[in-house]
Amino acid sequence: MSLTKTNLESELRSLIIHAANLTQMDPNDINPTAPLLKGGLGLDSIDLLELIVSLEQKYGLKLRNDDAGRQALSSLDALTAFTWNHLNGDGTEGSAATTSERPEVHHQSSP
Amino acid sequence: MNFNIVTCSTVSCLGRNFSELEEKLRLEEPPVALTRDHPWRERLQSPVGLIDFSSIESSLSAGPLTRIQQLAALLVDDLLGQVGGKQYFHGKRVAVVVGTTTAGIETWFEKFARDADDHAKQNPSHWFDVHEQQGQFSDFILGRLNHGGISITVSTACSSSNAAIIQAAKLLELGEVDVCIAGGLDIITPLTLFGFNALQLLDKNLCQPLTPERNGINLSEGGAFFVLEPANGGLDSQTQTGRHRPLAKLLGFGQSTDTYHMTMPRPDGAPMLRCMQQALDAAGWQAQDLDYINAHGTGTLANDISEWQALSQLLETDPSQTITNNATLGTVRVESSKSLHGHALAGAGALELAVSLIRLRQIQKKRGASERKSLKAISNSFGFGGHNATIAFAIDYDEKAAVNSGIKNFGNKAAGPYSMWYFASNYGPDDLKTSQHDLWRRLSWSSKGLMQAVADFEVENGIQLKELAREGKLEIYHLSLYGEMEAAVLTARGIVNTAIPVSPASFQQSVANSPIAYLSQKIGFNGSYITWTAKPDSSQLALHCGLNSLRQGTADAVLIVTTSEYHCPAYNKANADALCFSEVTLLHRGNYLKMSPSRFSVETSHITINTKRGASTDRTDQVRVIRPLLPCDLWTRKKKDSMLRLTGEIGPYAEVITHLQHHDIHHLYETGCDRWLPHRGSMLLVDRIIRANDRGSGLVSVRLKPDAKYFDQKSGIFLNHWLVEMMAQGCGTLSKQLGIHTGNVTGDPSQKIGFLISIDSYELLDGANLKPGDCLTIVGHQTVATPPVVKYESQVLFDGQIIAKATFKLFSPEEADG
Repeated sequence: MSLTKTNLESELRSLIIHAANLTQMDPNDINPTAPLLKGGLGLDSIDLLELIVSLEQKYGLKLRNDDAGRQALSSLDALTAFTWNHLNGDGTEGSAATTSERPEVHHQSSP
Repeated sequence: MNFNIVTCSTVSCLGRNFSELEEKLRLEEPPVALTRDHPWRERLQSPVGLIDFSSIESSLSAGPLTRIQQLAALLVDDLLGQVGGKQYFHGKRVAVVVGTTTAGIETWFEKFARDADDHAKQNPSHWFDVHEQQGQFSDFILGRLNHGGISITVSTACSSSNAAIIQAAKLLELGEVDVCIAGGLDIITPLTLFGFNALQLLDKNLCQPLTPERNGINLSEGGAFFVLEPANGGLDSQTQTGRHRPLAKLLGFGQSTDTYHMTMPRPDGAPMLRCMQQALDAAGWQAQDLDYINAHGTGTLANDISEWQALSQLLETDPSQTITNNATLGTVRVESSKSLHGHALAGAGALELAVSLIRLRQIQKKRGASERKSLKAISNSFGFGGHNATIAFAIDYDEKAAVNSGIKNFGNKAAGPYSMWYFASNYGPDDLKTSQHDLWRRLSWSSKGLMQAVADFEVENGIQLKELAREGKLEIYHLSLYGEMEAAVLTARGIVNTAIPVSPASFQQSVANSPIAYLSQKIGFNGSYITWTAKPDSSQLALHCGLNSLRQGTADAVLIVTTSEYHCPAYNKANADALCFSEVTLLHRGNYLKMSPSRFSVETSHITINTKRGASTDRTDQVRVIRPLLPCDLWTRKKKDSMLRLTGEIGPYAEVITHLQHHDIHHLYETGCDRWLPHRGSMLLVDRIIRANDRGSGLVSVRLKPDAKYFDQKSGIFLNHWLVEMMAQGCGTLSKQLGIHTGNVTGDPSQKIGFLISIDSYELLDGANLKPGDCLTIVGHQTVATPPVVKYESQVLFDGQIIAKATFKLFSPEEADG
């Protein structure tokens, strides 16, 4: 049985809660149109990284540090749409990473 | 400061000694030693810099060694060859100060991968052997020298090497030791490789640090060790080894903390600039005097832009100038050699110091013999946790210039008295859940424990560390007992099980300095901290170094924090049965803080620290010591009410410190209780001292054996009355080991009789259904000592709970001797 868009959204809600370790929060409380970052769910850079590796692991989705990647992580609705498109193969997912911009989605380090 | 870098040994993907490295770097186009042909290539495309082990193994004659031990042995043997053998160190006070992040994690990981599906073995401590503890790394090297001395393993992630070299310089500056082996070494392990991959930091292609095309890191293994000595000693004065020049001079250092993000540097590079400026000030140089800068230059988007900003400001060049590797900024050549050898993590700083020395020689050669003059350089290393460390060094240094070079890292000596504030706590998961904030949900046990202990410490003592960090010269020593095992396990799970993603959050916390990095962010501390992976003597050594910093006036206050996880046998069941142990100690100059202690009694005791051989240089200071008797208050996991609060008399601290430098007490912790007790075979009920202090109190571990007398051999039921004997043996061990502190160990202590005289009280609190394999902890608290009789209060802990307690008297002849 293939995944419906509603089921996908429900999966993503759980994935976000799990990735960000927001154990006190009910997945259904995520506002689908609110930002995942500041001003909405309030995820930080490390939460996003956790989410990115989870998405890659579960759906084979590779989010890049480009406009498409940032757009995908802007809200639950956007992420659902992006993942849905990826799974249904319309080929609109993020392009190769750019190096000229300062990262917002991916964080970088000086290990 | 002015130290001789006497010799260097180095190993990396570019070669197995200094001359091989020099040979490669001499080429017009040095070879890039990074390869995609590595054991993990199917899962990971990024090139890796691997050391060719085929020629190394055969050259080492000693028994089976782990990978990192093989490399360390190679480096130490190389150094020994250069200085004319072990006798070089005879009669000298030696310190080994080395950085690593991996140490024995490789074999730990192998065991973890093997047992990954076995849930009964999902306790992080399960795979942990002594040689895998990071703290053992420096001990291994000291052992290779066949010499006693101070041994410190530094672990501040990728700045570890530079931090270790700086720590060594401090010990030399203070006259604590005559000679140091300093440097750092790391190997490639799946944990680091996949961890960095999860952080999205690896470049799939050859890395291009300090270029606009950069897109991440290539990891590699390797490092370097150096023999460091004060400029007035060392090879120059050694007639038996001839008068040859030291390789170079170490002349300054700087350290700073970002207080910004666990893994991302502060974008404006200000803390990096401060770090470099400090190093230049210490050496008495202007930035324009430099001939060469070896940048950290990892190749990540963020590091290189931050560092470039800092470099541009330092050298007063245009920050908008395109980032270029091998650039000439002003008159200074700036390079990231990581494009050739990759990022050797904790070995990076040391390896790059070796590279820098070669580069300086090359620059000198190019300029021609007629212009032979002192060439000056700095090398940067920046690590996770926002830890920045820069060292300043020179070749062919003009000693006359050194005399007039002004600022030293150490200022004028400050007058005592010094005060000490102390707090210790243990927390279980219930305690840790009581606070919720953004950072909290991400923190490891030890980080949470530290945060909580610091918060309690502040409340108890009316101190705001934030104010201290802002206003004064605060220095922080962070001791990590086992490293961040929980975070390592959580990272490793995703590596061995491809159905689980590798957690970047866990990986970034697996560096040993993550708790102090979080704390520094919380209190806004941007000064100098260091993380040691601790051994039994580390807290005393940190106290000693801290007191010296106060005395030398380099700090107004010194914070010593210890934090560690303790994993109960039932760890896997609820994924929560762990305790963490955290201690906070604050030393400060007596008149610096005005606070009234509310919790512990205050006494004045004399502290004598023997810093030089010979009584003439002994120093006595007045120290106010505030602390409970046992270095831990044990809070049980579930029963807060049954919290033990152990307080008592205060003893002289310094005696311990002095003795610890002369006695090697490590074997005590490794050989276990049989060294101290006459009991043998099934009559020996206790295993190992976990912690002990200089007043006969501490913790002892017991793992229940199936064939022991405490199990009814028919029914298999645990016979509770044996707990009393167990407590007595535990306390007997603690009492007898005291001899090592007071120097009274003569002959074989286990041959000396000691026995239980009377049981004054016994209470079985919890009918725990103990099974073979269960681990118990015995708490022994010496209350009265009237030799040869000592009184103890003792408890048995199982799974974080007190299951029995007793008070009794022991006959202990070891103390009678004292």
